Amino acid sequence: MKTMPAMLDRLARRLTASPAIALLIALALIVGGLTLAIQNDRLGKVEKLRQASVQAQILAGSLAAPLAFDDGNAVREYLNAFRKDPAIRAAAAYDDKGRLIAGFAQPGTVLPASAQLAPPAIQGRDLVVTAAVAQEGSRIGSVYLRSSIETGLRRAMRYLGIALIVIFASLLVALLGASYASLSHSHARLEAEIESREKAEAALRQSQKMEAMGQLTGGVAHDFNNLLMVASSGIELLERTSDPSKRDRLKAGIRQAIDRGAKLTQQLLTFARRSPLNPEVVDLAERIRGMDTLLDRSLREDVAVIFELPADLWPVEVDASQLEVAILNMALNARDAMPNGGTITISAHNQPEPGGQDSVVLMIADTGVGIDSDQLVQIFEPFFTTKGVGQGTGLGLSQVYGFARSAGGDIQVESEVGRGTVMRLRLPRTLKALPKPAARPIETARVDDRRRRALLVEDDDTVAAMVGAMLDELGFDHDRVGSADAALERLASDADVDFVLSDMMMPGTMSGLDLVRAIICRWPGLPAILMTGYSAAAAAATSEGVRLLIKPYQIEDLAAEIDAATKAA
Amino acid sequence: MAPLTGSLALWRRLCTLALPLLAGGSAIALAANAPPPLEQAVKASYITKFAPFIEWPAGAFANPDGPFMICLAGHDAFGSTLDEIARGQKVKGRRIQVRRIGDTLSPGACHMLVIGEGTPNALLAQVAGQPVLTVADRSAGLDGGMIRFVRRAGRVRFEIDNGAARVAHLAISSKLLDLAVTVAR
Repeated sequence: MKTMPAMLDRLARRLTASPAIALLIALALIVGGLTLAIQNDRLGKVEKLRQASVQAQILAGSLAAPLAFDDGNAVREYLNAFRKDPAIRAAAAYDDKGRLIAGFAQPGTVLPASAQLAPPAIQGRDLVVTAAVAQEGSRIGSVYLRSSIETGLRRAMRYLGIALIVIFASLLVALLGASYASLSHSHARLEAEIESREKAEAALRQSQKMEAMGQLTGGVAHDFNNLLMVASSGIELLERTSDPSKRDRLKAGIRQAIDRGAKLTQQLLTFARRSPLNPEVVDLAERIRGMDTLLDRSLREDVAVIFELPADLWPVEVDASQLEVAILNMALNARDAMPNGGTITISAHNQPEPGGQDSVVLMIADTGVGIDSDQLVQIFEPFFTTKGVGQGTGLGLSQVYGFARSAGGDIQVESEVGRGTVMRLRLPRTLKALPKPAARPIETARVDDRRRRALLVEDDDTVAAMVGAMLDELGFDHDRVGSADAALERLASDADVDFVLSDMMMPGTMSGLDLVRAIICRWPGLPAILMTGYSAAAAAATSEGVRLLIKPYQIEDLAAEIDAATKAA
Repeated sequence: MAPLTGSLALWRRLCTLALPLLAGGSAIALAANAPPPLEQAVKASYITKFAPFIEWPAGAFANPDGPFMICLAGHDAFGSTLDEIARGQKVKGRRIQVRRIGDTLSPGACHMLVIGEGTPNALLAQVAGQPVLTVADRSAGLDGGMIRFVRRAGRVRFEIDNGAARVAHLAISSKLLDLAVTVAR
């Protein structure tokens, strides 16, 4: 039932794409009306012809006896009956010799002097019919009947009526078409406008994120310097000491520093990724805990963060990236509210609403200066800021507000000057299940008796050397090439390779992903693993189902991935 | 007595004289009474035109191709006029044949009988009940017949005795009845 109106709508839309088409339809309507009128007229004439023939036959039948027995009075009587019909222009009766017995003719017509039997014919505006008068096969005479097809006035009136109807209908169609066309025109304009606004909004979201990123950068750079300091001094000290226990401690320290750096860059990359709004089912507690490093780095040393996240939180369906930006924005706002340090408490709890929409409330509380009640209503407005020039754009909390609205929830703020502020982000509960985390079997490095061959595709010499050493450690001989094109050449000449490990971003015409696609086509049984440090590229690879190692990775990760890939193949 | 006788003889003579004279006078009177030829022509024409308006029973025509017989009985008031008018004409797809008959009528020989002056009553009695349309000329003083010519306003019209026609199993068209001056039901 719904498809019909939809189809009609589509048809109407196509037909009325422009006023010209509507005009065309109107024109077609007029032509159709005209054709109909002409056809009608033709049919009317035929009908009239038949009618006149019947009249003549009846007259002929009635006149049989009066004509046979020279009863002129009776003949005139019959003929006079026809005189009352204004459509009959002339009527006459003739005897068997063809002599005129009686008849009449309206002004403008003349009676034929003698009878002439002829098939019905149209003479000018009149219809002339003749009929033989006969009784039982005996010819007695003939009748002549001339009737006008239609009186001029009536004809004009009828055509005027039809013309008026057709013209009005055409006008209506033209009008409707024109209005529909202008409507669809403005509709298209509106759609274009909406599209450009969506683009602008996306750009705004990205800039809001970058604003937060900007705030982060200082802290992150500082943190990285610390990590690098640990690593470089650790290596230096490693070279100078031979005490195994000291060396172990140093190595552990370096390892830890590198792990933290890796985690930090990973979070930053995920955070900065330019992505469209993509709601997914999210476990709030897991997401927020995953931000710990990021939060730590973006806040100052004198600000402590406490998480109070129960394990049984309901899942919510939100854009994860926007959620992280919102939390970071609120945390940054809390930090700025505590110039002398303090505590940020990030807590969450389920809020059942019997008969309504269950929700999860995320609270971010600080122990800062608080916000004046007259400013409280303004804090979510874009570009509202109490911070000095160059310190804040006023976009942070407006992002939080926008996120809350787009997620179907809301944001409330309570504040007491001198005591602190609590932001309550309410997000509707979703009944959808959390996506299953990809189970990755953790296997320890396995050293095989048989040496196997790997093809390593990596343009960076340092990375290639380190990965090569890892492969050697895992029992692989390896050949290294610097580009995807070179790898294909190498495979074409010697395909005796157990698997291919390739970087994603490389010089040359092909990326690592293109290489994997080519391998799937030409050597379907050959396992291939990609490695990358760039999250956008990683997303592209995982969406195609390609095995992926995120740099920096550890030898166990490499071993597990190789194991899984070769087993799958 | 002689004068008487003589007068008688004279009377007789006169009578004999007068008789032809009377007869001649009556002949002259008859001649003077005789309708003008145009009127007779009209009647003759009518006689040939009646047939299409009248339906004979199926048995009236023995032969499918046989002629339509118009019989003249008694004095022939038409002469050659009727023959001339009837010549070449067809009634119900049959050619018309005009026949003058004497005192008797062979059965089925006539479809129409024009009663002339001096038609024997026996003949009329013989025709009665037969499917024969009888036509008489009342304007000429001849009565009887299913259709009788009369003169009205100087024109030849006719009366119809539809009852008699029905007895003879003849069906006269209402068109003809409409035209009759009087119709006896």
